[in-house]
Amino acid sequence: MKNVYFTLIISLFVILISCEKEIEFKGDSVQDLIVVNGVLEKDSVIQISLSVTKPSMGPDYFGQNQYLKSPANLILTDNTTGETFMSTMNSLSYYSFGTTAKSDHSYSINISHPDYLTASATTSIPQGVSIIDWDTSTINVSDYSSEKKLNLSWMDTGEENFYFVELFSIDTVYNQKNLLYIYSYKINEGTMNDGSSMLILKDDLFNNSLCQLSIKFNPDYYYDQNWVKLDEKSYKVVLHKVSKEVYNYYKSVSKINIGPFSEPVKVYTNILNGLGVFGGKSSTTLFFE
Amino acid sequence: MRPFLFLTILLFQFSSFSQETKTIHGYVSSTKTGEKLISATLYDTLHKQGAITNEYGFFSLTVKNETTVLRISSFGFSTEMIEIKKEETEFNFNLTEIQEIEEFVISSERRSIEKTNIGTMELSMDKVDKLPVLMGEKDVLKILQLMPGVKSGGEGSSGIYVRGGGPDQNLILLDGVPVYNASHLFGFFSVFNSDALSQVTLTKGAFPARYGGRVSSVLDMRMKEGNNQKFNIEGSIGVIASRILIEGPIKKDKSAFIISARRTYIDAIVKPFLPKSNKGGYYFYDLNAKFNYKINNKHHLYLSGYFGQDKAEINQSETFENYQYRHTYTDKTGLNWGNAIAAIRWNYKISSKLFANTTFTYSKYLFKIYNSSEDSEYDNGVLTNSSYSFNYFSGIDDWTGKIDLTFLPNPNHTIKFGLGDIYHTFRPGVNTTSSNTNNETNSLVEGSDSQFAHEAYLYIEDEHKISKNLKINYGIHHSSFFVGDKIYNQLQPRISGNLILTDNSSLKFGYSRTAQFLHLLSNTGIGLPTDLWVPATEKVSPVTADQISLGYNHEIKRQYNFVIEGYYKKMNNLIQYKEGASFFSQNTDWQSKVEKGQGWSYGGEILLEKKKGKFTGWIGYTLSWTERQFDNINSGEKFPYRYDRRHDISVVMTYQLTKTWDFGIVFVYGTGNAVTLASQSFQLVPNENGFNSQNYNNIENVTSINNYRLPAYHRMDIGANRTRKKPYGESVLSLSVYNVYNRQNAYFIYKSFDVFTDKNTLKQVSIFPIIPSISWKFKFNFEQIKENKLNKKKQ
Repeated sequence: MKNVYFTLIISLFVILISCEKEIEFKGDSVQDLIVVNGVLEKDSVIQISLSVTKPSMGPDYFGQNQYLKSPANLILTDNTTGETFMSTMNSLSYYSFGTTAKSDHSYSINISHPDYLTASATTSIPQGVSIIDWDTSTINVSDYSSEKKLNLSWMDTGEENFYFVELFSIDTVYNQKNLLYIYSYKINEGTMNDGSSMLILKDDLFNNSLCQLSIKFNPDYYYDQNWVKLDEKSYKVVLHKVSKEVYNYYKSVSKINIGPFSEPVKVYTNILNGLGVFGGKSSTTLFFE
Repeated sequence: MRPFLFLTILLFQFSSFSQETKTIHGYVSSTKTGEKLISATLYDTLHKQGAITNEYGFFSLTVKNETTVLRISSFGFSTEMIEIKKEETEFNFNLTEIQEIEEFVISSERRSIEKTNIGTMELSMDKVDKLPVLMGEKDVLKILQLMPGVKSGGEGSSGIYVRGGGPDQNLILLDGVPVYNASHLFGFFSVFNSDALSQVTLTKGAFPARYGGRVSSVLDMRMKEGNNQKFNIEGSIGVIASRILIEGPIKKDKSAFIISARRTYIDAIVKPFLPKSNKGGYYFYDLNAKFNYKINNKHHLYLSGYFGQDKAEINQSETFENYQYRHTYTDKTGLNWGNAIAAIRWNYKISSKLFANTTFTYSKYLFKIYNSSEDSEYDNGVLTNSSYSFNYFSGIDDWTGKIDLTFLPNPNHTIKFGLGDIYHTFRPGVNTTSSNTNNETNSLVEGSDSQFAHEAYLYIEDEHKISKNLKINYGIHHSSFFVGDKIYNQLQPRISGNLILTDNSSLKFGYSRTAQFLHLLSNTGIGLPTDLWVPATEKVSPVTADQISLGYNHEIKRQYNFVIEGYYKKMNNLIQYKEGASFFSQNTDWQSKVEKGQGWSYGGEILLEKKKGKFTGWIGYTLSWTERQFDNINSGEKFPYRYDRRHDISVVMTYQLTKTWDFGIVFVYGTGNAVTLASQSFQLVPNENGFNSQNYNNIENVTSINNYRLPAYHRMDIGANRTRKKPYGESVLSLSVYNVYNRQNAYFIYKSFDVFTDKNTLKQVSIFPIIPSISWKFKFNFEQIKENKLNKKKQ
């Protein structure tokens, strides 16, 4: 009898309290857009990959609507020299141009496709940056664990500059690199900040002066089959000087936090009539142990 | 400080009066209960001069020193005409309550067109009793949500959103003490027990200088004082809660008390159906108490308190045992939150023209989540004990001291001035974890540090009758907030006025600058008690707002009241969680998780009210726009506030069919709340490692924050009350049906993926379909019981 009452109460509760139904999506009709992945690396061949958006509602299977169904027409213009370049299609998604990205040059891209609005964007390639000084140290936190510290310095120039820093461990056995998490960092004599897998920096604190970046991370090791710690791996740090568009894009992406109570994030784009980013970067790599 | 100096000099200038005048002063009280009457009017019929009692029932009227006749009236009481002889000055008037009130009005007898404060509404407590309500629980805040310019947060929410402001921007005062969390049951019911309230006034426009500390509205609620004439017991039994109120004299005409309590029994209803290994449940309670003592005609002392708490807890215990093994596990998880407030108030009639009210108050709000578990394992003679506990708590404590003075130099001026200090202690979210294994303990405390602040203020205002047709309330409020090494000073001018155009119409206007030193950090919008009260700090500035409003008020045959008002409000230094931030990540300081921005709200409100007759009620309509802008949210572009509601309509009607039966009907319609919903998704740009920084393949393309509207909200409630006289007093049986046509209003929506059809759809969750309820209210009349006994004996 008790179970009958319990079932009745639960049923009543479900009927009264939790009424769920499917409703029609009545958002503004949004046209599918071209998504541009175009971060041009200084002195490298200019390559751009394209994908397209897919509607949030309706059919959703793997890969659906993510790729162009026919080739797009891309025109790249070097605004500094006035030259224009036509693209070579490597696949429906990848396009390259017969030129390399030059520092301080401004570039515009124009992408047309019969199924989508014509997308366009402009950027410039930043000058390279040289690492002036660096050192590393290892601090034993306890008998079982240690942390590694890397100090890195470079000279910032007078204009507004943007950077991001990535740290990898290099596995020579499997010939691969692993992105490491930088758990804290500080600039010059400032306070320690919470880190991330990719530090995104603006030169507010060191404009036109020396930047001394100090990062802390957990060392990475080789292990044997029984997970016994062997030698420490070597490392690679990449300092990217990026255009404002790339900085804004990665800054907004870094805020994304998938969770039921997380605030929504509007991802930055500089693509007119499209999404993604068209920007430039100039990278400097340092290997250390 | 110059304006204060000027006003103080002005104040003393008023004191010089001709020897030909006299000041009639005293209190107006109810004959039946002895309680002081607020806003009762006194009118000198000979000299055509009037006065109104203040919030403590005190009046002062300076007239020519000759015999005259005073007319004294108050809503719900019979009007008295009293002859005042020459040289007579001090009086305590008693008015008799009318048994059958034919009028069902928003305001008291004082005509709406005569009031200076634009956007002010006085709520008759009769209304709370007569209208249909959810689950039979009378709720003043839900009635206020039916007024134009006041919006609810959504289905079932008891929070109020006034003219584009957040729920934290309302100064909710219970007997002059601020209440921080005004909701029970996750926002479905307010904490105010309507049985214990005597007056509720909401000011949503330019509020007078005596109020400070919030930028959107003032909700001033006064508790009953307690009947100093006779004992009274009343109560009600409802579907989910019951309540009782006891009041009576301690010493007749001298002192009285009132105690009211309410408790839900959801826990008791659910208990028989819980598995044996589980205990716990959910309940909330309220306790209001007040004691007043009249020391003499000049001094009056009041003590009042409110204690309320919500508690939800689940206890689990399991034991597994065999030959040489025993494992016992216990777990306790719960959350509780509540307010505790206490006030001591001293009324001192310094002279016939000067009245002082000195108050000391304490207000506390605490929210706590806890989990503790114990594990005990006995295996082959070896005993292992371990335990774990987690506590998260946040809260705010206020100690306040203030003095408010009312100076009535002549019938053309009512000057109020005063000062006070609030000492705040903020605890904006602290986690403590502790684990113990075989007597080895590890503890960790993380979160935001407690913050301490002083909020000192002073104000002066004058209700100035410039001419027969023009009355202006002007004043200035200055507050200083001391937090850390920072001092914020805010000078806040206020002005509102009333120009009587004809016998039946008036034009009202107002401007106010307001400042608020507290923020409510919220990202759920559903009234979860996890919302944090945080102070203005060195990094986060106080909120300021400027509002202008203009209104027109027209009365038709003193039966219908028509009000149209327009307003424009600009808010600065609002805070909101940063993009991607979540209140769950409490281990970082809250200041690093917020953005500062600004907001705008503008619109118009219409109220058409029928005040008299068997059929009464009102229609309210609001047309409004509310926007927010933060430099680092939504690419710095403006976006609609979550509660930006273009249209908001409420229709409220009551009909007194007979002396026994009355009926009520409520219809509400509102544009759906604004939420963020992406219409498409896209792939992120990968980084050097082949993945993007967050390793997300697909990301929702949020074109704009709060770009999507929930379906429009509407529902109709109906109710009926049967009131019958009984030998013991009175019995009221209330039947109500909430959401009579079973509208499924959206509580929230979400995107759902169906694995069978590989399709994304939009789902809506509703919580309150049609809900019938019944409640029974009783009232004991001891005089009637005694009379009945005597009659029986005589027979």
